[in-house]
Amino acid sequence: MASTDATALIASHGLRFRYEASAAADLHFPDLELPRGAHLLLRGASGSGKSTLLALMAGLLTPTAGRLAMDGVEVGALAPAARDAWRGAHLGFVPQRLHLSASLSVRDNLALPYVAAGLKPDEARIAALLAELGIAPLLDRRPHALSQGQAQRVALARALLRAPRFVLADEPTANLDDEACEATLALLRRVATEHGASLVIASHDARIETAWSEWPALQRLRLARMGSAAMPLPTSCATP
Amino acid sequence: MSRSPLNLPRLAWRYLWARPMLTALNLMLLSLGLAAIGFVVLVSEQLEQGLRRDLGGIDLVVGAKGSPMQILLAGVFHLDQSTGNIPLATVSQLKAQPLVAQAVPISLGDSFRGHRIVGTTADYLALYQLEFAQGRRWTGPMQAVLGAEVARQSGLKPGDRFHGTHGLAGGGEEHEHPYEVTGVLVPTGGVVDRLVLTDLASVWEAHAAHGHAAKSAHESKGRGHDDHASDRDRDHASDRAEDHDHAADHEHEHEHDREHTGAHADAALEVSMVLVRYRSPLAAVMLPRWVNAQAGLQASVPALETARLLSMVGVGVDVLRGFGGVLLLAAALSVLVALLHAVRERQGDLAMLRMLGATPARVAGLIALEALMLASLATLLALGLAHGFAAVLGAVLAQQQSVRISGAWVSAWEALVPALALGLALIAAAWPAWRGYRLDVTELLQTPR
Repeated sequence: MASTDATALIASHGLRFRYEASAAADLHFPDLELPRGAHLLLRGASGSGKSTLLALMAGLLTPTAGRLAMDGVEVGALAPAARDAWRGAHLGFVPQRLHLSASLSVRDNLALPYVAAGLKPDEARIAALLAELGIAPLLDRRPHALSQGQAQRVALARALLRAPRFVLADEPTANLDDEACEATLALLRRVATEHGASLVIASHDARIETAWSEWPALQRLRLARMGSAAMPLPTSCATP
Repeated sequence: MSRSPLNLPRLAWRYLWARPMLTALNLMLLSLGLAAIGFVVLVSEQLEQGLRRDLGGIDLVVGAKGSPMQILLAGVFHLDQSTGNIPLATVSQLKAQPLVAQAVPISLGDSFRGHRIVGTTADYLALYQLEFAQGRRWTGPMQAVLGAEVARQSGLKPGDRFHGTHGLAGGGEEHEHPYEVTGVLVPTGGVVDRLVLTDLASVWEAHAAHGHAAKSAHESKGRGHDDHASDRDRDHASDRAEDHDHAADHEHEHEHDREHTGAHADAALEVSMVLVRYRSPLAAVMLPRWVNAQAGLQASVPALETARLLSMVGVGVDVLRGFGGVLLLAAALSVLVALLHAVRERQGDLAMLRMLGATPARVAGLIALEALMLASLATLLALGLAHGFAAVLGAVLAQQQSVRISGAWVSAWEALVPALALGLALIAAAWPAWRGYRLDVTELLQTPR
């Protein structure tokens, strides 16, 4: 498998993670090889380990066993500071609750990716991205003065600022009505394609499957409910 | 909202003021605590410095039997009434002691617009190393030298005349004979600035002219003891004959005085106190004992009395310091709670920062920076407040013709204020910063409840 690490965008093999707190929560993840240019939809009920897999991809957790390479980099093997630096540079993240800072304007929220890494905010890039996402006039607003859709665009802009290889989105369509869900999915797909970023979407929302059923670049990975079996269930890795 | 790009300190600043009320409250607590400490430093240091300057090398004050503290307060700091009078002969007796280097008599009892008129000899000028800003020293009775503050307030210049009033408080009966100003002293920052110095004989003369028959109750109210009314027999005349030049001068003035006012002729010459400088440390053992053994004399050792005075003042200082300490403790706890609360409230923000690539140290640093900014602000405010309070106290005391305190005084010990502020801030920030450091970023990925 090691030979394919260099070519595959995401490669995992025999990946396991056990939470220290509860010995029962021993998660086994199915093997995965995501080619370049592909996107990944993680499906599974809550508690199936979607969040854990995202955390492993982001280098927030270290695998108990097995390996996970992101664009050839085994993030879990890096030193803590290097992991943080890697995450900042290569991974954009759109959390379910967006987590825009209420204390800061949109402009300052968008400066955070730079501040986090100790860089000077790239004002031109911020302006360009906002214009591209159609929210340029919102620069001086506070998050509480934004609509849900606007806030989501700001969060997406924040994820894209440093031109990441991956954009991780956690339940991006949760709590959205069908219309907003459709708009969000369309936006994610367009932006990921235009920015050359690989989408990794964790969701249990069946609407995503339906909406993107004809997207050839999308791979699916279904995670089994945790603790149901020691062995991973067969994956529905349907590649159309 | 400033347009300058965000960086970590600016982010800390924004977060600090994201809860303006809480931040203002903490800032106030911290500032007041620090200001109390700074104020204590400023005032106690100025008090001690002032006491030391006013003592001016005086080793012993000899007065009439009474409280040594009162003698010190009256004779050196000019804050109290004298304990009474002692014979002028005491001066020569003291001078005859081999252990005495200098003995300077002073005579109190009159004032000019609330400033005490001190009858003394030229030795007094030497004792305090006083220099003249204008004019020269007195050469005869009813001539006076003004302290810098007296000259400033009264606007008097050499050649001008003024009337002294009987008693140390204002509003006493005015003496008929005017004083003539011969000189103005250079400011010293000490008690001398607020005194009018004149020849010993002036006080005698003023009172001789005043007419002792008219002496009334208000005089004894004005000053606890009348300095010049004694009918003591003049059996010390022979002693005075042995006096040194100055005393001889006085003798001369007195003769002159007696020509004018026969009523005074029989009154023994007295002074209020004698300021003594020792020739050898041995005197500290011998002389106070000798003085106290003399009938009617009381020794006051400034070193002992100021120590007692400071220990009395010290209670107030300790109370203020304790108050400041309690305020600081409250402030530190309040800052701690506020930061802990902020870390919990902003857990998402901080986790997002980590997600965006910040190291745990950066997140902890952000929290520490917030505390340090608060501490720096509090330090500035506290130093301003401490100097302001000192200035106000100084103004109040100046109105009372009392101890001199200045708001402009700067002490090296004020470094205590920023040191305390930073120390407290770091202690208060330690735990919240640690929690920021240990923040569980994966919570960002948990399904909201």
